[in-house]
Amino acid sequence: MKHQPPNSIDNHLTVNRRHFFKSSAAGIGAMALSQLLDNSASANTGLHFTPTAKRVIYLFQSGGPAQHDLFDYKPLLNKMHGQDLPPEVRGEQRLTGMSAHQTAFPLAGSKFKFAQHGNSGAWLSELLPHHREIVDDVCFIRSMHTEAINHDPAITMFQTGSQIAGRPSLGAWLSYGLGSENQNLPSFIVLASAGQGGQPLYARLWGSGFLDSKYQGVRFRAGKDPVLYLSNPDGVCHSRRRAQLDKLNELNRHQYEKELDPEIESRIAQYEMAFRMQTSVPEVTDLSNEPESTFKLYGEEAKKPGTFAANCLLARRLAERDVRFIQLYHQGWDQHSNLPKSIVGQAKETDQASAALVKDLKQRGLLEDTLVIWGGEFGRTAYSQGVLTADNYGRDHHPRCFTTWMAGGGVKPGITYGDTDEFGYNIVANGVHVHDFNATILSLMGIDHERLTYKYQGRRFRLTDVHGNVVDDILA
Amino acid sequence: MVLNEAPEYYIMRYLFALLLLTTASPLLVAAGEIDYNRDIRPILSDRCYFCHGPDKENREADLRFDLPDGATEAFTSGELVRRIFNDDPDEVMPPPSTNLSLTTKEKKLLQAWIAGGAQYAAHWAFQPLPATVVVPTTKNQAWMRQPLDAFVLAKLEAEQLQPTRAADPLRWLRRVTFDLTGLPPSTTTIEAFQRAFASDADAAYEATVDRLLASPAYGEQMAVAWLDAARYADSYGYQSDKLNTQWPYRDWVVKAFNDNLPYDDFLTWQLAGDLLENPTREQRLATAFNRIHRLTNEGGSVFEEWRIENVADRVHTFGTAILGLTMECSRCHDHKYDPITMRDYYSLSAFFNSIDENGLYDSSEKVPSPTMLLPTPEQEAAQEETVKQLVAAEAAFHDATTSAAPRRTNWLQKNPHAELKIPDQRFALDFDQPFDEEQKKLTYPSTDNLSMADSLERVDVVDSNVPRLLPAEGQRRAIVLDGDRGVTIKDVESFDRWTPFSLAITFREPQREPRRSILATHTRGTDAGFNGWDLSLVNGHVESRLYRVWPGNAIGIRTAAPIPVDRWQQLTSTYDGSSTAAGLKLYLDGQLLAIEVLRDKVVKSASAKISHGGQLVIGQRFRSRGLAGGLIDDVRLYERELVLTEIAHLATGAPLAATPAYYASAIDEECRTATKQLRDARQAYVMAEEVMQEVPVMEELDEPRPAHVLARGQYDAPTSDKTLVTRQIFAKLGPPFPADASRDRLGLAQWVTAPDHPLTARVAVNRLWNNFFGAGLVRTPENFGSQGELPTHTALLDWLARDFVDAGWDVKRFCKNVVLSATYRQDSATSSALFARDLDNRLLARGPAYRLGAEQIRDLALAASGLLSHERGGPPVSPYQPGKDLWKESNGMSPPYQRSVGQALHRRSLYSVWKRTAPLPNMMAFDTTSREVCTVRRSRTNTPLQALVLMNDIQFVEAARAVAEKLLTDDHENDQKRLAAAFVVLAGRQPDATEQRVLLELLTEERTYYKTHPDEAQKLIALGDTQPSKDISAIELAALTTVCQAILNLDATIWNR
Repeated sequence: MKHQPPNSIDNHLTVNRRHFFKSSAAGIGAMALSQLLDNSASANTGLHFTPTAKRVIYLFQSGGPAQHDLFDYKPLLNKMHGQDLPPEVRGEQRLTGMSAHQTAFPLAGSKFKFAQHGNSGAWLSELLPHHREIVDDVCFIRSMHTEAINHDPAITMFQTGSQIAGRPSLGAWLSYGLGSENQNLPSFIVLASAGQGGQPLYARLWGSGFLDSKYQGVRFRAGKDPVLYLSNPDGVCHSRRRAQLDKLNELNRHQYEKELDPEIESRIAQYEMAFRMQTSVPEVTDLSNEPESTFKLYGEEAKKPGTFAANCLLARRLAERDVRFIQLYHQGWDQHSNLPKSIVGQAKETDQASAALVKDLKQRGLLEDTLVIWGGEFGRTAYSQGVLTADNYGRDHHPRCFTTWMAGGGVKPGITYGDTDEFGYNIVANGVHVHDFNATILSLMGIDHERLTYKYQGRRFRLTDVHGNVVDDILA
Repeated sequence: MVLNEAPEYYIMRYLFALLLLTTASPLLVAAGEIDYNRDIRPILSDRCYFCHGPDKENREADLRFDLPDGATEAFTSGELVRRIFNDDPDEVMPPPSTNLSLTTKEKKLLQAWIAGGAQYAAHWAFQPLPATVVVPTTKNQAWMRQPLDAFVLAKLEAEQLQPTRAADPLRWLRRVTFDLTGLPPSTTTIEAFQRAFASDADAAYEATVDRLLASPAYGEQMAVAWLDAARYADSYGYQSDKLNTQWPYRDWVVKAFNDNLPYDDFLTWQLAGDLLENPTREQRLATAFNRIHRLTNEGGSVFEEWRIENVADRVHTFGTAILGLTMECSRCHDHKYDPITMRDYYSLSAFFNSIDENGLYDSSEKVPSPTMLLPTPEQEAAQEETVKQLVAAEAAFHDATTSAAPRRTNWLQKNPHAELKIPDQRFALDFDQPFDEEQKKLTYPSTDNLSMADSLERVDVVDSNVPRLLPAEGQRRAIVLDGDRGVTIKDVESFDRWTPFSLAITFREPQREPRRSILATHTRGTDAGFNGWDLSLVNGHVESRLYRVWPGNAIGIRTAAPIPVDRWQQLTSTYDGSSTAAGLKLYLDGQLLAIEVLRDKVVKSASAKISHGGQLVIGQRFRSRGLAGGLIDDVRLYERELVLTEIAHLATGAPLAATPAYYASAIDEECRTATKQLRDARQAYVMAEEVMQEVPVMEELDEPRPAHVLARGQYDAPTSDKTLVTRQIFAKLGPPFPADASRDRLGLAQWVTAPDHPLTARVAVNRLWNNFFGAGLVRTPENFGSQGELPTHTALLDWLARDFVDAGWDVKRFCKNVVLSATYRQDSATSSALFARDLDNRLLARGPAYRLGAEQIRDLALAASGLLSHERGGPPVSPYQPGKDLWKESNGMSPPYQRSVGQALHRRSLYSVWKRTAPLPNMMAFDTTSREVCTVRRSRTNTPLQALVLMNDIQFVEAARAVAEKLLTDDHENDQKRLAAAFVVLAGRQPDATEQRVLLELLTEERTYYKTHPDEAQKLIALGDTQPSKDISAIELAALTTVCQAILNLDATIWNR
């Protein structure tokens, strides 16, 4: 039995509008799942399922990691290296304008050695040595697929369930549905590796779409001001700010007595939350008190603010503080050419810290209710984009199959799900569409993706539109 | 005509019942009290239409509830009632799997309605706007000031409620000033108003409104909501998100409001300004409305996929912004709730799909066609000057050629045995020998991206009748192209509109290719759009094209017939520098080929210098299909339009003849000088164009592009005669298409602005109402359909709409009537009881209160501080933004953020740059939208980030300091007076005693602090680009700055109450 009958709901979730003003005053974006359901019969219940994950850390690998060189071992490609992709494999499928005009589609065998690891026997290439240590905690999904063939629509699809802008992001849906667990930090935090180049990131990826803008992700940055506008201006110290706020509150309370508008009370609470963030954010982003063993685990890079490793470590610290949704981005996987060279550095930047995060969460007992996700917006082609030589190739975008992994939070550990054909071009079993993937994430968080809806333009919108099936097979 | 306005308490009880999630004894409703639109349709629509509604494809059991006769049997047989009151999960309707279950109250309502005969009524918003709407009579006549007040009061009387007392005059003044101009009233305005009010209150109110409506700030304020709807922004919005050139449209919107352009014209110009008779520059500019949607330039994008996406965005924006309809649904299937079929959707899209666009953009420099140029008067004058020179140069050239005959005769006499040559050769290249290292500096085999490639295979040329390039020794050879590699020839000046040239290629195409194969190219740009010149083969037809943006800004020709395949032949392509398709010619083996013109309109330089390319390449182009398998024997380029004898000579070896044309072009100094001068004059003309602002607009193709119903909305869905649609409006919604109207966007505009159109005026006045009350009478301005909310005051909405239309769609008049009404004048402060009863102010028993918008908050700070620049319009400016460069931070392809300096730092927020994928964070914190898609409602949230912005953003710190500085410079007796003045300038009223006391305490504390921390005082007051006078005490200034900032953060300041 994977889904228990609904628990009784937390009290703060059953609210009427008036109450809502008060409760939202206490935290950022507290919104009731029950409120979302108040058109349905189950309005008085809490979460749809018993959640197995309380929080998510999503390590988004922007650009489209090459599955043939990382996870999806295809010896046939090495055997047929340089030969054309048999036309029947591709069939009528479209290609991007970047390789569609090529006269040949030479298959490119991975330059990297593959081996099986762990009790689960998961295949990994030599590019990911640290992953060997977590394969038994991880569920690899080799059969991911999507429709988009360009980055912008593809990443927007993953993060908002639609290729077209205007829909709320996954994290915004969760903030909207579940509210915040932490009174001092936002419930949805975004961390992007600094100075990475590669495919752009867009505000819409962590935006709130047609939901209230308070549900959008708050971006944390490396450096002096982890959150924009967090620091007091020069010449204003912490204690003076406190004193100013006291006066401000006094004046706003006075105004409330005259106006009686509950929004004023809410505003006072928001100023207090802002003040608390001025302490809590620097505290959580300060990695200096982490012991040396931490940096041994995550790698020396974790000492450099803004690196993927530092962000993974920060993600763990945020998870410890019950931040609900922590979205990381690491760009640079878009290897159209010179893949064998550039993927080495790219894998090195992410391998150790990704594995460390899983290990660290596990040793702290957090992995069981924290869902970690690793993956990009699409995969890459089995054939080479541009000229193939004995030791060099590139790969174009490939939406028909690619690999992502999940760990913790109620996902079956140590399995590989889904199969691709021997070219790694098409899925042959257990395909997982983006909508299925997102439905599964919501399900792990205790939400039925068909019932987390928001009525806009007269229509009940969902993260998964009118699609999506929870991938029950990968649930522990 | 009296509208059927039901007692309001029903709605209120109903709403509160829902609000409180009451499950206890639902109301027993007698059938006679049921109002179909109010009570029944919302249930049927929301819970039943999904499977039993307008969508034919997905309709279950052939049962539909949206039409009166669609389910009669289900009603009369008792089946429906049986199914809704059913505990069996297999029987109950709606099925549990839909998550659309009915509440007990809803079931009973349906039951009662069926028992009463299941009377249907048409959806209110789809009914023609009534010709007249009767103003209700009320008991309290004294309160009313405008006809609209009667509607509000009638409802209050029915609810046994009293209106709230009138707001304090200064509260009204602040409210109306923000609502009409987006700015706070100045201290002098406040004082003048108080004086005028003392002598004649009513006159003072009216004079204030007239003054505000006449202020240029009015248009700036009113434009904001429309720009949200029109999804106006300063960047393209996808991937690299480069900046666009669309700001003149924003200025047009401001001007249209200030000029009080009637709303029907406002719409007509935007929808169809280009189709009006002799359209003015402004009318054409207005059509940018349909072009300012997002565009992508991402590599590898499929042109047609994105062209279809652009058309879809136009349809959706038209639906939401103008009609309050949700078109999106009908893209993939018939609408689930409203009478809009999928066929309707594509028939409507047919109005918007016929412009000469390719679907993508490439770079900021190349504005996606079709476009218009918007020269400044100076640029126009400069261009006229170049026209004069061009006319003179053309005349001189004409004179030189017509007078050449005697000079030729003379020359022939003097040079009877002259060896004739073909001068002006830029290069001639054969491939008899392999590329050597020295040669590779100039020409080399190249890959896709122009880097050096492995040498190309060469084969012997054995059966060619084309003369060899040079009678060189050794074997004659040709290169073999593979489609992916080519030959780059460096440092050849870009071909542009004014440069005559001739390119001759001896080649062989062994196999016919249906797709475009590149023979030669001199282009820049990416696969999202090249610019320059290319020569290609498309199924055997040769094309020669010169363009800035293909196809809309281009000249191009194509041979009428395919050229032969698999033989050696020489193709010569010439251009005369005339910027016309007639100036492009193609010759095969020395014979002029018959052609058809593909495009014949080009503006600005056709060789805009942007990244990628820029070299002359043979046989290939970046991410294009080269001449796979093609053989090239030799290539020659001449910087002149060769004449026939020369071309024939190259192709066949026929001797050159000193024809008049040859003499004029190749020999005669006078003609050659005139040619050179003509070329220079043409270049000057193009350069005069190059600096002009260019804006994308609508411009109809001569022949409408066919439009099809696309299955699942997909661009590559199969099409046939059956999917083909013609331009049509909805079959079952709205008035018929006007009989005398043309089937184009102009006809569509006529349809939309019909005086009894059910939606246009209602949607418009609802949006305007929102400007003043913080919410529309229909709380779902984005949806007037079956799933939208009912108006809080249906008759009022109709009356306002009817009055609006009858008065000539006069927006200013509408605004004036609203702000002078008793409804608007009410105080917003009210009792806790009323808040509890009507938190959202749906009854309008009190005045409006809402947090100011993002633009208003920043503009308030700038205006109060005196920093606000009064410059209006023009290119967007870039205010303070924290961080290093938030644009490039996560987008290496983006242009950098370059902060403005000087006055431009302090422009009204309307003019701040709007970057769709990285909007200004301090504006976003206050709920601006990204403007990626049409939005007609902003959220108004209350978040800690807002507190951080107002407390810490340098923009607000600098403004507070400027306020403080002014207070310290002005003549104020003491702290109390100074604080009062600060309060007035920011909050628009005098502080009360408590406020005075608290502020004074704060000031005293701050002063004490900064006295002991003078360095901190210096740091605080030094923030911002503007610097305070050295004459002012830093301690005093710092202390007062923090106090002003506190006032700036007050509810009293950032709320409009």
